[in-house]
Amino acid sequence: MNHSNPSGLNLKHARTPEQITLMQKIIDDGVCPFCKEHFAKYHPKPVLKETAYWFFTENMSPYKGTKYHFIFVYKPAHITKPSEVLPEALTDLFSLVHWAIAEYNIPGGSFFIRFGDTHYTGSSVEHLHAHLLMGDVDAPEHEAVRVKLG
Amino acid sequence: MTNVRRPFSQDLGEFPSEFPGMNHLSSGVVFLMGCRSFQQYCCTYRSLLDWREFCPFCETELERRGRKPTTVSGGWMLMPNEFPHRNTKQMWLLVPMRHITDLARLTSADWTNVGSLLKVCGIKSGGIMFRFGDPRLNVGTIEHLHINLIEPVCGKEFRPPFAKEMSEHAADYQRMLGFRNELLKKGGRPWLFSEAGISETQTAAA
Repeated sequence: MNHSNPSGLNLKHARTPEQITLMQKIIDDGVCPFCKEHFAKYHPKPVLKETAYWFFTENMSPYKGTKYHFIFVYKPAHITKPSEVLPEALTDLFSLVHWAIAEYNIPGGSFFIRFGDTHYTGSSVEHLHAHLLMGDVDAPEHEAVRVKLG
Repeated sequence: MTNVRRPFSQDLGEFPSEFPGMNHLSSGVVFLMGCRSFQQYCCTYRSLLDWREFCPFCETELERRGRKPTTVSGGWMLMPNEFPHRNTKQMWLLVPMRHITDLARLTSADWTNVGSLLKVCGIKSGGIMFRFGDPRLNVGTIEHLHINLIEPVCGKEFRPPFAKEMSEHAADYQRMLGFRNELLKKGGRPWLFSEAGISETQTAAA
């Protein structure tokens, strides 16, 4: 455990007031918001697709400059490292990525996972999850997207 | 967005002198715009015109440059990134040995192999990231699909770009024109593919 709270949250990496408020409540409740038994209670966006291994949903606070910002949250257990992902869950994740690219007509974008100690990675939630995003480059005056990985 | 994945064929003289906007550029030009040195520009230009000979992640170019993967497994190779960011402790690349430019061509077996190679580099805290598809939507610089494995230095900021502002694209375009002009002075495409051009602009072996 990298944090002084059992929720595995790092408030330093929250980006919006809404995130901070919600994360503080989760820390007070003492649970991991991405564990499947708590996910629906704390995640304010609908689950768009669910498999045996992953929740697929929009990020509650999409990065500025993105047209799409989805997350994939690992369901089977509270894990923090990709090495702990079940092999069948890894192939399932990328089936889901391919599905999302087709479903949302994403001609190009980026995928990333931050893992381990959140002090290193800039992640706000320790529980393993992946991001899929596409910059909103056709929008007038669109902003750059630079993701904190360290 | 238009012109996605249009085959790259522009001659050096065909680039407008002013930034025409991203919708008027092919993906190949966007790869060239991401180059930060004349050397990188020339290597990228060669690979866009003849990937079999010059793609930096394909066999011929790897051999020419003396680059050897650290580990090979199931058609994938793990190798150190030649240009690690200063705020990272280590950066690795996971690359399919086939010249894959479309994420959809990867199979479940590929992802199983990626999973096993992820364990080899031994990063305990860090990031896994890859860009896919149209580079205008992710500011990628190499067409051959590759996965970046990154261990940042704790306390040092590292923010890779996933999309740029229009002013940044315009600046990149102007920088690319500078490299284009330098290449024209040296002799254009004939020089680019000559022994002298290749050896002068070849990225040093890792």
